[in-house]
Amino acid sequence: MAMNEPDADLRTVFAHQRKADHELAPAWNPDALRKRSTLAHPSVHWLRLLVPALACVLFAFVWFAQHKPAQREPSLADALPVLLSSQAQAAPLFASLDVAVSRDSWPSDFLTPDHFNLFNP
Amino acid sequence: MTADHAAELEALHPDAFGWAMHCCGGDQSLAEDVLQTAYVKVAEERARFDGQSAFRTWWFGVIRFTALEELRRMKFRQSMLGRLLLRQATPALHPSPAEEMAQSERARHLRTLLAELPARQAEALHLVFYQDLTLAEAAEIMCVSLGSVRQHYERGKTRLRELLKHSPLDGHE
Repeated sequence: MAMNEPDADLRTVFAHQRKADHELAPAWNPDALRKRSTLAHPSVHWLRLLVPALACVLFAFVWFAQHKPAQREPSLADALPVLLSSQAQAAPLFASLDVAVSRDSWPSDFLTPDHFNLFNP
Repeated sequence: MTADHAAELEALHPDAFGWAMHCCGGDQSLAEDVLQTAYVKVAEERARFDGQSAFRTWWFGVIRFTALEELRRMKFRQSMLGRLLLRQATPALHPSPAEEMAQSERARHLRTLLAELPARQAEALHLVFYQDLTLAEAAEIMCVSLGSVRQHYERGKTRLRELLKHSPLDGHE
């Protein structure tokens, strides 16, 4: 990239800093590629995982303690009251009705006009 | 690591130190440690040059990443949680008085001015004017697009010139 002339002032400024840094730079040491890092890295990585992990365990414990699973509910068949007992199955369904009543007349005939009542010959 | 790469690392050592100084905010001891850690990464092949960019561009990217890693660790150590877990006081990121005296007044003043710029602008200016890289190479090291780095570069120049106008370097040496 071609530098504009006005940028020469900034280039000069940085050139001074470059020269000063080069004087400060440690001497090149081939062993630099074999030395261990001098940065202190305390074993903090497991700590950074431990706190969130403990928080998750505590949260899960509180959650399950407050939301206990519901008692097993009985099935619908067991919960409903008995509608028809097995003993009543032998008896006719409408036992209160008079079975001798013919099909030609019904108990409600008196409620309807005669021309609505059908009579078999 | 090949012998050619080792030779390139040696040739780039002073400029690599200058880049590490910039990434570490002028803290010389931290810059030396960061640079050393970057060398160890290369030696242990945790950072490998794959030839997809220029060697210098790749190497400066490794140094930048290493410095960011260490600054994050320092930030954590300085945080309340870090101090609580580690139970130690960690010094802030500042050059020591001895280091400040060792640096020339002019260089230190320029670093002070650059610290007033947004980080990306200061980075772009350093890489172009100090390291003599192109904008494309600077964009690769900074992991931004060419358009972004051009913007940071132009705005950084304008801002730095304003700062130099109000606080010239000539009076500091």
